[in-house]
Amino acid sequence: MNRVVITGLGVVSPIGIGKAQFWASINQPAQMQNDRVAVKIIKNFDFFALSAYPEDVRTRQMDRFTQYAVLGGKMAVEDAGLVINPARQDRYGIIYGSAYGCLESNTTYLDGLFVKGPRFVNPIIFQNTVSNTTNGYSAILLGIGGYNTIITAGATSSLNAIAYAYDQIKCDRADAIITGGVERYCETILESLRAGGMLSTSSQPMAQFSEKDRKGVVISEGAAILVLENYEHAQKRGAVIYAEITGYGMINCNDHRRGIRNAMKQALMESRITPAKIDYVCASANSVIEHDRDEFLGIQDLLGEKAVITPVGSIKGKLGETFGASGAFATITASLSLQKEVLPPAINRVYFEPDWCLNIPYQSSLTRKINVALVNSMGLDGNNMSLVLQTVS
Amino acid sequence: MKIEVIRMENLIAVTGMGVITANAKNIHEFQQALKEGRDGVKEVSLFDVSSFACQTAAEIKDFKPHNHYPSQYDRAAIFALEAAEMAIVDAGLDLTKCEKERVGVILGTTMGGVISLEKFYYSFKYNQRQNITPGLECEHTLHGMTDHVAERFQLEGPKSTISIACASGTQSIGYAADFILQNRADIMLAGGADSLSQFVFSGFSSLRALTRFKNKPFDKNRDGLILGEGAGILVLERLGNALRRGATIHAIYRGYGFSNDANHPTNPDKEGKGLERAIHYALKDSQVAKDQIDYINAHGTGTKANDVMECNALKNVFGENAYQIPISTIKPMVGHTLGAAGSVEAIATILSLKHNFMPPTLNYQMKDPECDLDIIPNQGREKELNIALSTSSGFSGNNSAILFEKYKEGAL
Repeated sequence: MNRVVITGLGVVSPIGIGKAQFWASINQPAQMQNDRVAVKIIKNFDFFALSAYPEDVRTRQMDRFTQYAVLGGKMAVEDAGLVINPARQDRYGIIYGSAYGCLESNTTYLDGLFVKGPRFVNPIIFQNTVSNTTNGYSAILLGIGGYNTIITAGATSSLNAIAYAYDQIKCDRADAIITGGVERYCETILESLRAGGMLSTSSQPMAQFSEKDRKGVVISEGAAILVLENYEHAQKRGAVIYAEITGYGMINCNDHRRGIRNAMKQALMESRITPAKIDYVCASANSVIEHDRDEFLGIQDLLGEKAVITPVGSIKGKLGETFGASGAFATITASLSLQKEVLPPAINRVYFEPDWCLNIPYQSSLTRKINVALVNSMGLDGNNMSLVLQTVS
Repeated sequence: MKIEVIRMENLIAVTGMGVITANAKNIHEFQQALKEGRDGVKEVSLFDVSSFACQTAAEIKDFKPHNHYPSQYDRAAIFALEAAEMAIVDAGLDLTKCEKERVGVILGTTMGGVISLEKFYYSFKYNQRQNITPGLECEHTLHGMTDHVAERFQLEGPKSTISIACASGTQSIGYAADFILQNRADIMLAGGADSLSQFVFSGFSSLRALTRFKNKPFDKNRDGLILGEGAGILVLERLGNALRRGATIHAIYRGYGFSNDANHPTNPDKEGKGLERAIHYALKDSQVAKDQIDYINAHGTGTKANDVMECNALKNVFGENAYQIPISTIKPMVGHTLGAAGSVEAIATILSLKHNFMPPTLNYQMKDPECDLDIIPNQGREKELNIALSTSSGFSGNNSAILFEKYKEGAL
């Protein structure tokens, strides 16, 4: 069995493009957030300027969803210093995750269908209505023709994708896989959350993050892409290694306390470490009160006495909820924390129940050497996932 | 003896199959339809097609689910739920006796709950929010159907959905098998589902990919595909487990592969390099030699570009031997069922192995020099089969391939 390491990071987000900007943003000290908005989107996004790809027949028809993934993938590959040899392209792959996929293009297509009628729909938009267009473009532009797929599993999608990529490298099907998550905001996501009672009920769609009405998700978007690589392959080419992935757990259960606890247990068992070794938990922290309670109690169940001292963090207060990309954003955060020995604050943490005996630094970053980090992700559809990252020994 | 035990634990058996297509409502009807070469292509009644040149599809008509489902459930999800139930019954599985966290489900779909998306989007776009029934917001997603299957059968193991267009159904089976091989699950449901919709019908029509006549894969005069709908779901488990509980074993799963053309955003790579890679991966994963393949269930949509691409890929992989291997496609019978296609065809492949009968490629009239392989025209054929390959290719260059082997009692 091969060891699997993370060697490249690419970030496209409303709080920073590129890992450096992103890291600076999430480590800013907490301040009272007055800009209470329901949606955080990437403003002034210019794909061609950022990616340096020429605007031509290969790139012109991409939708924003695909642009995020392609740009994130390019940054991750460059960050890893990975040069794809065309003769060995079958040893590389692309595995993405997304909860809503190309929903924006789907609704743009429907606009045409409703307004102009079925005879006059736009075939170019139709070609963007399958989520794997993003895989097709990424494969072409990165020159990777090997293992290629996109997974959708609600908010855990990107951890599902990372886990799948991890397994492929582990059993030596590929040397490196570009993986992670991507999500593009569109009105239908907002309306879906509203219909599901996930947003504030006030007339203005506004996410609430106050003590009494914590119900409310700040919808965000972006791409968080990682390069996963066979350890020996990475070592041979002298790559910088952020972290090693040593195991994951996956439980589908709407009792999230049991679900996330057992997922974390599975991940630890595969990694052959005890809960006492955990230095940091990058929580799912969905900011839906029932979920947060279940997750925190699940972490407490697992950590036992150590719960009061082990730092638990989340970047969702800063970034917002990126659904199918959230697990990958958390994985990138944990990877950088392992490398830089800094834990970003869980800003906007205002409400806290007295029986949650957890250590959640929320005002400013914490400098601490960590060796083992857990990354959690939970979805409304019942999925619970946990991933173990470790420093490479 | 010891080697035998290892093989038993490392081989995966297919013990249950459930299928719904336009020409069959269960596995027995499906087998019969394949044998008779009966197609399910009819005039579309699900939505208005009067403005289109093509007015037919392999639509599932008079569909009466065995169970009552909440009214907001999407059509594709109901296909998936029904097929899953049939597969579980076929496998003789008592899920109450299984460890819940060790049973999971992976489905593949191209459009997921697209009919619900049309409804949901229309309702809020045109200020008719009163038409949004509770729960509809969960129906329009791609993974909604998988969530329903997991919920109904209380599966707590790995749950995920693959969406790589028309190659989804094939890959989902391999993805599910990986979970068992990695010892992350004991039993997996795997397959795919998709429904007909105005969305897809109008889109394919705008691409001029639909034929006004009959669907004629590999024929010189082929001029497009016929859309279909349905679901196909398989039950996978370790061979040892299947034998211990005395299950009927339909076939042995050998391996899979998936890839991307990395060539053109919309058109398939004429050289078939992407599909060639997927087949190579599948052969390697299965540890099967090229000359062991007895039959290939092809994607064969009946579009100009796809069929040439496929034939070239097969020639690249199998060389001169490609002309000796019988190939057929069931798309003229069941239509192109998109995300379900791969799993419906996997089931057809398994039935071929089981009954030593290869279904025909219907509507074949004129030979195309670019598709000059043995495509079993119009009449099915009997042959002793041992190992068979099924391939799928989709939009945006995604390909997948999967291998099954006949199960012979006592011959491990």
